[in-house]
Amino acid sequence: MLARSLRSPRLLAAPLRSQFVAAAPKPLSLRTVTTDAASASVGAVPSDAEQPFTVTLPNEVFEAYELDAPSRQLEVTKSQLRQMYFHMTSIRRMEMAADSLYKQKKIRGFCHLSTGQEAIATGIEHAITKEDAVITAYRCHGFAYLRGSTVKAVIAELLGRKDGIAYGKGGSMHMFCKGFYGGNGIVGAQVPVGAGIAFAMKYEDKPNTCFALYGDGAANQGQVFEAYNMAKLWDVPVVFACENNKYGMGTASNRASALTEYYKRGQYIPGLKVNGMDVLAVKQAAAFAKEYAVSGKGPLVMEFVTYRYGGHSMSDPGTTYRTRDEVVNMRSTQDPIQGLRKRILEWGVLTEDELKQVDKEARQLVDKEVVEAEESPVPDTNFETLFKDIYVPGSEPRWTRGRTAEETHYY
Amino acid sequence: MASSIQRFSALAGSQLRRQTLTRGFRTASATNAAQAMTMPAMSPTMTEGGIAAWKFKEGESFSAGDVLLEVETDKAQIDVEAPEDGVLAKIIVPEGAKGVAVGTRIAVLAEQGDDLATLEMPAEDAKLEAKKEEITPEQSTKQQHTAQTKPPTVEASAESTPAASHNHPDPKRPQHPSPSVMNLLKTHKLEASQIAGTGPKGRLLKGDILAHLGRINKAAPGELSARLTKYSKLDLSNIKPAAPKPKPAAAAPPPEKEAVKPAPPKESELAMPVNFASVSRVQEKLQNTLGVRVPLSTFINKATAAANAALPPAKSAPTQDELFNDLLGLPNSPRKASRGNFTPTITPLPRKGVQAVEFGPSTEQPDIFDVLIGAAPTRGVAARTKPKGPQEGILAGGENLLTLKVPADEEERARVFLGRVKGLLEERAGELVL
Repeated sequence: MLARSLRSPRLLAAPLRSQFVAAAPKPLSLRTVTTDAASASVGAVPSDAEQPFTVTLPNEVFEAYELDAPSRQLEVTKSQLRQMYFHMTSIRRMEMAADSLYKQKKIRGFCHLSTGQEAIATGIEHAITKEDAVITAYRCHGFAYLRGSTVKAVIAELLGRKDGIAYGKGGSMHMFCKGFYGGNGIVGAQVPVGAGIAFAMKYEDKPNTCFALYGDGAANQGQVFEAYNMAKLWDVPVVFACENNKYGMGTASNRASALTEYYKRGQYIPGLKVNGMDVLAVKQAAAFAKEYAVSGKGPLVMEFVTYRYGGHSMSDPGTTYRTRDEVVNMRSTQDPIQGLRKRILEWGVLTEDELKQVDKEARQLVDKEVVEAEESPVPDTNFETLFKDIYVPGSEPRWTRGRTAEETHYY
Repeated sequence: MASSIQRFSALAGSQLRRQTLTRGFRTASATNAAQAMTMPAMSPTMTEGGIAAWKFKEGESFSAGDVLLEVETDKAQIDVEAPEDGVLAKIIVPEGAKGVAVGTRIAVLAEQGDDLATLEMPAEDAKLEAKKEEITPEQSTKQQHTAQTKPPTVEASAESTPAASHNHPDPKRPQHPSPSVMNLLKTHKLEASQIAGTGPKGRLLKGDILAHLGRINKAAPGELSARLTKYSKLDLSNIKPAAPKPKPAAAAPPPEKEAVKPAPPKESELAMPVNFASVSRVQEKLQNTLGVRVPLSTFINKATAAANAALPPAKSAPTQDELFNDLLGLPNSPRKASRGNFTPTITPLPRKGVQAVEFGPSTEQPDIFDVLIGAAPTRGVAARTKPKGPQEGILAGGENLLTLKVPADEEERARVFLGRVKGLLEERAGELVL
């Protein structure tokens, strides 16, 4: 009907349009960070495994906030690529072993797996030194392993055995080793602790940084912003790194966060968004972040865009708040391991047989260490064990309270 | 293999290429060793479950993340995903099986590229048996409890019934009582074995000791335990599906509905006759001089837009600022004219009815007089001018009716608006398009 079609007269539209133009001067950015794991270009690849060659990352790997984005060119060697591939594969194998042990009821309690997010742990580890520090939340198995622990220690810890990284007394959320401050169960609590670690580094004039990792769910915690504030105020060399796997415990990030661009959350701290499914991009960004922090420019907020294939924890099937198709699609098109594998093959760094050999090595390593972990004894069931390994030797208090007066333990 | 995939990928689109490539890869290497797949515990409390459906047949290959089977527990039906790529070599526990204990072998998985015919499955079986035996006694009683098939549920229920009579507590009874229990035992110099526990699995509770000491009713712990046992499982057996609701009587509601109706939104309908004669004159003129046919809708759109441009402010309750200014005796700034967004409805006017049209508000509400005498409503513009059948369209060059439904407080604006539209269309039609 004509009366209904009185909608878009030119007289009406003209002032409207001008309003729009005035209200939205910001052009919509066409460049967005993708989670593509495979595309990148390379020049000539040398035959020597230790000779570095230059790799150019695709356009969309970084997005910067109040910051000049790092160069998309980085130097890698063949052996580094192989090592990265090996690390990612063994983390995945380890997580799969944990999953299977959990489903056999051998692992009990909390268990959060990082299947799909391996590139972040691997990329960061390959960009920093053992003198740098990493602190993360409870999705920590991969970090613990790469920071210098072993698969056996991680799995034994999950199983609650003596050979565990925390002597079988911590479990999934409490893994520590040199340069790795855990494994923290309280959502977001590791972020201020990480700022403190970095503050200690600054205080002691060490040329090091601390990566404080947290998830997109924890990014809404108040203490994260408190840490931001102090870190910027004192120019602490800390890197706040958000692992954005798009879903908090059971909620999509856009349903929980008013601003889902986590790299802009620092407001007064520059930010960098990185494709967290591309291990080379993570490596380059982490190296850049370290340099940035150590050079005295203060903290940096990073966002690694990634995806977890499993549920949030073992009791979450992971398909109630997202479709299975989405998971399958991410797994089949943007998997970090497959992405690196494809590059390695394309660039002729390794042949398919050599890659299979790496796969086999990783598998054998994990299988062997899982068996060893299962053979490890359970901690001694006496009161001594309960009070051991709580304090750094020499720093204990005089006594610790037990359940009853008789159980009071005197150090 | 890689080269053939690459050749194929050159032909396919980029998305497809990526998918085929990555799908073609796998992280596992062929070792020609089958793996037993055991019944997974999909929740920490699950001890057994049924297999609702196998999503793959024997010999079919799957990729990581695919749903292998659906497991049925007492609580829910859960999909079990494949952790890695592989082939379903053999299904051991078929679809529909119930009460399969966690840890029981339900299938054999092989890897892609493995020769299913030469797989060594019995070896796997022996290994599994060996593993079962390996479980050492000190590895907590819990594991034995879950690993050794079904009876646990039966046992558990038998245990949890108050067994106050026998003086020898179950050897399986949890060994570490709570601090309050330990404290009571210690202060009253009792032995845990002297007292029967009524807690879960015969655990000794504070109430048991208090009852033993005679501080509380001796029967209380047993009663409480029985009560908990009774209510720990929700008994839904007495619930029947609701009987279908009787169909509501067909004829009854209408009169009531009409009785409810007299609470219509406070809207009023304004109407105004408009003559399109001048518009059609301008159209003709344009057609003759410029050879352009300007449709009627253009005139109406433009007139609407122009009339909407700056309308007197709506008559609404004074704002807080205005009230405050009134109190202080300060002058209030005049309310600003604002753009309206009225869209009039145009209907052809029956020629005979023109004389009845009056310029003013009317409501759809029936006149109270009509209601009283029970007659059909006769007054009000809306009632008279509403066309009966589907409308033919606007009467070009003739009398039409502009109607507008507006909230009561916008009436003043709407009237100005209609007046302007009428003026524009009847007197200044030429200006609208030129």
